[in-house]
Amino acid sequence: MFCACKSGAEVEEGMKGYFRSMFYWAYCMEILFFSMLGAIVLVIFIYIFITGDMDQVFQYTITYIPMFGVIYPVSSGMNMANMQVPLALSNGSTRKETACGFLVTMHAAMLQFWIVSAVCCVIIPAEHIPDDYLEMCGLLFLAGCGIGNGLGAVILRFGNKVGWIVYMFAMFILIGGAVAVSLLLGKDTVTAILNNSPIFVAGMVFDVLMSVAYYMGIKKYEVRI
Amino acid sequence: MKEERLIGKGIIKTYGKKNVLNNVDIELEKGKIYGLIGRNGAGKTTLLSILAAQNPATGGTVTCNGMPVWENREALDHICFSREINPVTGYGANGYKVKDYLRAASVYMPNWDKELAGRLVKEFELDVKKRISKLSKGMLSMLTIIIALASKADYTFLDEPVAGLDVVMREYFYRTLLEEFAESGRTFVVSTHIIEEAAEVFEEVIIIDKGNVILKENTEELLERAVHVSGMAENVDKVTAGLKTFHEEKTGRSKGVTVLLGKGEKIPENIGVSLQQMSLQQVFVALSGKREE
Amino acid sequence: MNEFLTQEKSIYLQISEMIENDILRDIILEEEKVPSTNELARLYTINPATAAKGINILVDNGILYKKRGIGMFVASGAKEKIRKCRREEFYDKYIKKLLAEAESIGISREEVICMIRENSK
Repeated sequence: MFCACKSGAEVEEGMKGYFRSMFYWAYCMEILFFSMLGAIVLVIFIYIFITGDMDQVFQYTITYIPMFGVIYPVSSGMNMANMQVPLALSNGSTRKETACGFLVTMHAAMLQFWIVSAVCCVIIPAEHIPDDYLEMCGLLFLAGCGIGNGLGAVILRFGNKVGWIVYMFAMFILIGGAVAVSLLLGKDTVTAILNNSPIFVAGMVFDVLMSVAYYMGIKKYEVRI
Repeated sequence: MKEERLIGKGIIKTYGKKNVLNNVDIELEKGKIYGLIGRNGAGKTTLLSILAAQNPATGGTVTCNGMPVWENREALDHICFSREINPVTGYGANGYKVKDYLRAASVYMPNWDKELAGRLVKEFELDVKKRISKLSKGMLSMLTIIIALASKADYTFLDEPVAGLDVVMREYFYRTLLEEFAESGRTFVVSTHIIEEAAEVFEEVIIIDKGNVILKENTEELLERAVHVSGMAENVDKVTAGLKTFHEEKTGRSKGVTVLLGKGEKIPENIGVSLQQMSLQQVFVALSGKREE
Repeated sequence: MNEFLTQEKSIYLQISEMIENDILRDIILEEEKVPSTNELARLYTINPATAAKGINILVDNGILYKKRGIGMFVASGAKEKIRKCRREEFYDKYIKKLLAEAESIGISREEVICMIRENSK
């Protein structure tokens, strides 16, 4: 059989492929990220300009940042699986490169949202910020990332229709579950739970599992018209 | 020294119970233009997709210059598969623009020729800002062609590039393809349904029928050994005894049949039959046309 | 040179015949350059390998010769060679068919000869 060791040039070639892939995915994702961010900032400024009601502004910002931070990865995960992945693969990207490009940029986006929420904590007066806001955001963004990866994996493996069904199902369970939990347990218990680090670990494990699922989804993906 | 070929051995592809490719062996040399012809559903796109490592084969191997192609960046840098672009994706109308497609290609193709792409965009009069969902079939074909030619890949596959193009644009495509071929000596594989026009452009023709490659041969040599024999049925039978015949047509006392002569075989003369040279399209229909039950 | 290609004969044969015709008609003179393989391929939208095959036949028959780095040229005496070759082929290519057709419709050889004599200008 052929020698398994790659020459220096071959490794470099291989790495070039990864860099190219990363660059392209980052380019696409960041455009989306910054346009979303820009839109939010614009809306905030318009609101301030019209009403001058800073309290409301703070309230809205605190609520919407985590919301967008969940919507973005979930919708990206699904959108990319439908559009970007086939485009990359049909241009000769390997599946490893594509999975790598997508997953890295997804997690980068997650971190970026978290940084934004941290910035908010600094700018906005402390009385508007609920306790454990940063931790809660972090958890939400992790969950969003995981769900986005998971839905992307479902779409890649089973097609778009199944993806949407799972999406509806997941949203129903998530929202319903969140509402039920906060109603049943009350705010204090929820905060106590959030303070417990195991839930963070659970969030990270969930994200890792979903990322693996995404890679498995791409592996079996067949590029078709 | 590495052999410069793209070789597929024993390629099998099944979807569930359906066998789309049966043990296909194919060898593509450097610096040739191949024509890939076959009926709809014969397996052309699947074969090209597997050779370009965009879809996994159920069995068999594909190597490029000695290296396996699957998930191999180094090998894939030599290959470009420009497939039909779909204006509708699973997500709804394809919201990408022409320039998005061109940019993606320029990122992933290591030898992308920006100037050539720009020149072709101008000559095809393509609006780069237009959305894919708003393009006509002809314009989609043009985009496919631009990506294939500007990729400057050693092995470039075009899947039905002329679908939707009018005859003037088709002629322009063949001319542009030959020019690019003359300049770069790249290997091209072009699958098409419009056989006769393209026959003169193909150095070799590959005919695929129901998942099998039934023929791979130099176009001129194939046409030299294909003869259409017609006349009185008994005479035709006498003259074609022992020879490989296809696609018998009977009308009253007369009969017509296609013969593919083997090496050294000849049709005996003076037996009162008509011998006619055939076009590639006629040979193709004879070999894989619809059988009259 | 600018005739269309037909489907009735191999392309490379048509290419070599076209060049021979042009030599006979003094469209290309002896010791002049003929179009290159790539030029022919471009002109007729055919694969360069096919054009090359047509040219190679003429080289093999001594009609053309290659000047390294410059291209293909018509050999001296090519015109006469072509004429001679075509004279030898004339009977098989044209007359045989004519006589076979005449026979199948019942025209005798003498009648054919009379037709030729009467209609010669």
